[in-house]
Amino acid sequence: MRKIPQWMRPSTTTEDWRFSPLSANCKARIGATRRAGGAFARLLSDMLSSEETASLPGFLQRLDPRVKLISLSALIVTATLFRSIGALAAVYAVSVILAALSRIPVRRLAHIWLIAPLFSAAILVPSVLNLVTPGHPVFVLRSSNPAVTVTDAGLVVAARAALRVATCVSLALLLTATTRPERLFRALRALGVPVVFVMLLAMMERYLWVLAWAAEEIHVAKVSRSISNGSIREEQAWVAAGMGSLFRRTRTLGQEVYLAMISRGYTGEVHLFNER
Amino acid sequence: MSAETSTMFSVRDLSFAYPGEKPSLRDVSFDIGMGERVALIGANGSGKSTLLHLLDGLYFADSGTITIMDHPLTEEAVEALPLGPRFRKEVGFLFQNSDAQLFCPTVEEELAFAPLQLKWPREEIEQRISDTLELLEITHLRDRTPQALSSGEKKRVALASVLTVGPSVLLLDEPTAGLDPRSQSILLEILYDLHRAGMTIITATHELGLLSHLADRAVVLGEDHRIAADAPVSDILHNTDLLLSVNLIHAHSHSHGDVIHSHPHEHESLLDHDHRH
Repeated sequence: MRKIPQWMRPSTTTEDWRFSPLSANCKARIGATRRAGGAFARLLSDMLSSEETASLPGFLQRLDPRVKLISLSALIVTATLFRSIGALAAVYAVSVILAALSRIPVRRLAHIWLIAPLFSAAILVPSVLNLVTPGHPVFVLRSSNPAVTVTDAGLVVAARAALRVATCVSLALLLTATTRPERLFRALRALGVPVVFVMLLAMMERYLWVLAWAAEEIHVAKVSRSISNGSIREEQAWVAAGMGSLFRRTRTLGQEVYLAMISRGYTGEVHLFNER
Repeated sequence: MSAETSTMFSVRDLSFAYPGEKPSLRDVSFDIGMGERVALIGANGSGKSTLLHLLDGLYFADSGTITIMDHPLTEEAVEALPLGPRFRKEVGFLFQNSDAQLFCPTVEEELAFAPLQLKWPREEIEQRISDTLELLEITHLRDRTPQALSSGEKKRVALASVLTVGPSVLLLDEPTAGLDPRSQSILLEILYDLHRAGMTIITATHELGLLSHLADRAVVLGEDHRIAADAPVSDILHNTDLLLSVNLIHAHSHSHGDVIHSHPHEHESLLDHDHRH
């Protein structure tokens, strides 16, 4: 029998648990970063999932995947060319109508407004400032020289960019949500996309799931061992450590996938069974 | 009320479903006493791992309740004083996937993670790390990176990372899955000794061959995600009809010389095909 250290022997008694559940001045403070970590993985999984929506009897589901691919791609290109906010809003309205006709839940499109600003913030935030987009000041951030202000022209640029991103992502989402991945990949091949790109896309779609769940697992494991809510700085350090851990796992997974391909005869040349 | 008879966890009419999916648990009710050793057994997908996550306050029930020492285990309570910190200190969770649990750059950092949050003095943390590494026979791994370890080593480091704060409850998700016989044996010995020292141990497993080493009582989850039985391990292991109905053993046709016959059997482990009749 091993010698269990004295401090490791459970010494908790029922008396230790006798306390009032929640005191008035100790409100629950569910860490924002903690919640965001888990929510992001679930959101990603939700957005990638086409299992339920692709089999619904909707308008886009009935179309040939090649027709869908060409027409929605054309709409995306159109959206990137428009400069008028009104015209962009009209294309966005088309995507909402298509979603309704295809029975795509409204929350799927709404999620885009959470994700798109996150990824485009690095561009959008500086663009509202007079340093990037000169114009009439709407809000003064620093009055001394050099003055930093939010300009009316900057807000228009940011609004246009945000609307354009949301419109393009919505249209892309309609394509993936109403088409099973294997049919989409076949449509890409039929339209002449090189086989190596299609295979890379297929692998990315497959392993994005795995990594989304890995991120969720890391998050849950950390919560399980978190005794107190950390400070913002500690939470930021944890997010950075989690990203590092996920990156290491991505690299390991990539190596394993490659070795698994080699062990089954992969020599650098890609062949697909269902090309068309 | 003596420590042995106190109810640690009380689960009542618990139902849970992952968003957009069918229920993983339906109307589950049972109690776990302080110092008990209980196994949650069931086929793959029966909900035993989900139940452990709920007991650890990582997921929260759609309906029904869980209490720990009479305190309702709600999201608000687990995230706030006074229950939150005590709960996280007293209840340790060993995940099935050790890679998910080991997120720090070195083994030493892993073991220091939870005590550092309690803001214990450095000497105290040092002592606990040394004691725990010694207990689990992994002192030589102290400066290694977790990703470079074998599965058995990772599992022991993951357990060590949970033990450094001195929990009184251990939740174990398939602790012996994928381990070689020596690692398995060391882990079982440690768990037995921790139980003898008074720890409450709740294990989710589907390895019937190790059940009597892991628990004294078993709560059996059926494929309908409801409790199919709750009884001493020896009774469960002798109830062939029950084990067949919950898909923990299966009828198997094979030959003895010229005679071909069919009867239930169980696998000793996932790695081999030895079976007993």
